[in-house]
Amino acid sequence: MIAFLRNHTAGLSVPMALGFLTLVVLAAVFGPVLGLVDPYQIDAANLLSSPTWQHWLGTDELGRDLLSRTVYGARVSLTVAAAAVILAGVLGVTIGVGVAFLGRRAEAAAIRVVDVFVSLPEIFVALVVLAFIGGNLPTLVATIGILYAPQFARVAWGVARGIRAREHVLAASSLGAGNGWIIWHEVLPNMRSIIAVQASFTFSFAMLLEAGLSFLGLGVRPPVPSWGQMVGSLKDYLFTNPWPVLVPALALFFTVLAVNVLGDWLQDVLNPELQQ
Amino acid sequence: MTRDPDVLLAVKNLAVSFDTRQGVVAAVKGVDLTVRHGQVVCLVGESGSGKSVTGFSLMGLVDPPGRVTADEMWFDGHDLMRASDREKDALRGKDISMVFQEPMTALNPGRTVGSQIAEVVRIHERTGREQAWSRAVELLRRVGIREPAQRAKAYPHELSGGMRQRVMIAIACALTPKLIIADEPTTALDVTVQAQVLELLFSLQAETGAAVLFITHDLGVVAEIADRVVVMQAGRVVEEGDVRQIFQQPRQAYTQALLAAVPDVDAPRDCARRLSPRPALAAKGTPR
Repeated sequence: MIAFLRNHTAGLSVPMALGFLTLVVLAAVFGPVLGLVDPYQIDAANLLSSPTWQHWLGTDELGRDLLSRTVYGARVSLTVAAAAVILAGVLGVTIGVGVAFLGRRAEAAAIRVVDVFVSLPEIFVALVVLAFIGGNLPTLVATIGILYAPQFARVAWGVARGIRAREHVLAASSLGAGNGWIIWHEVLPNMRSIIAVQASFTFSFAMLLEAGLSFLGLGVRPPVPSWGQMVGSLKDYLFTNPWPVLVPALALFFTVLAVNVLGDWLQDVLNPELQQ
Repeated sequence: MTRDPDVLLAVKNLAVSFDTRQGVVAAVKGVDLTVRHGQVVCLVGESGSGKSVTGFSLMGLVDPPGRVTADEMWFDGHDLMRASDREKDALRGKDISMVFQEPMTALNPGRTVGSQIAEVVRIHERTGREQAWSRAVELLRRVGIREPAQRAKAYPHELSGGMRQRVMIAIACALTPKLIIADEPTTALDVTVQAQVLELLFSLQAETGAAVLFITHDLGVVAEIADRVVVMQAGRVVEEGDVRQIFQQPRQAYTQALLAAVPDVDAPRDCARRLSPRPALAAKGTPR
């Protein structure tokens, strides 16, 4: 692993991004067994405090421990983003590959429909949907996942079309393989790397969309912590103490940055022919 | 049509055309073709003469915008012009199979060669994964690959060109087909490896009694392997006959020109003696 990294990276940004993300994921996974303070416990004596020995990252407007809330917030933010990416990926790849096997006229029509959905502004549609059906975790995941599925579909369609034209697919047909077999054994295995890259970028988009919606009060509802929701409620106290709002904001910033750095790196390593 | 039980493949008036934005392009026009059981028929012609497209159309592998028409296309008692996709899938790979020109692109780069050989077994016989795998290893042994159990786990890029073509042949011969269509299977290989691969293909052919439709422009190979020769030019069959007759008394000017185009180190260099791919130009005399 270390030798692999050394061969495939220039500079420190990738190892740092990888290290940071590992830390975040570990904290999120093992949060409940880390012996942290209860994220809902109110310490009325210390409201909006800066870091102290008692509260390492300070407290929020109700005196709740920010380290604990950031860790528990990571659980929510990462889970929502990951679930949304899986949903978007499964839906999008299914649609994209299916469209690539429709045949000429139907394919052209179907991909225009996908294009319409790609061009919808995500935050606007998400606002409308969540305002009507209300924000709980499953609807949040479903909304974000469905919103990003068309982009996956577009990418999957393009790649599947390219693979479909390759000779080994023709060779598989010459062996009597039907479309289902060809999709499963010839097309999907050859698009894994491109899907992995698309998933990494979608992951950071999904995190930002979840944060934006929760910031606006339409995503994760208080008192459950998510990073966007924490920024949303702490922003009002920016002039009282600017420290607390920085904690979830920077956590979000660095996580998204790290995911994007890794996404770029994955792109270079897995699909070197696509550089530039 | 009188059904001669000896005839494996009978094609009458085959035409393949492609609709393009510039109009309809006719790749194959009015081709008749007969292949008997166990016979080696060579389809020769230069690039663009329609020999590969003929092979693909027999496999039912011409997709839209290509269009295949024929008065008759019988293979082993099946009417290929009226067969459903399901019937064709059942024939392809089992009774009629294809060896491609370039094994690097015809093999899936992301899967081991063993699993790709096992694939054809698993498509046609509902065998389990492990059983198909051991068949694949056995087939690799039969096509002369050493340490087949290890090689089965290799990816195509880890094998040499000759070994990859052996893998292709293993796939094509896996289910002892009655007809193997070999589309320039040795063109991408070194001359020494070509000889080995041909030897392998025809020793397997002799073993299984399969007929072979061998598509090539290499007349040296034709002379060695063919029973019958079909000469194509610009999508039409210009001459057809027994291999001896074609080589000793070619009747058509095109066949004579094709035979004359075989390089001869003793002959004087003469660049004007070039083939014309289009009959219209040939009729006008020397091009340009």
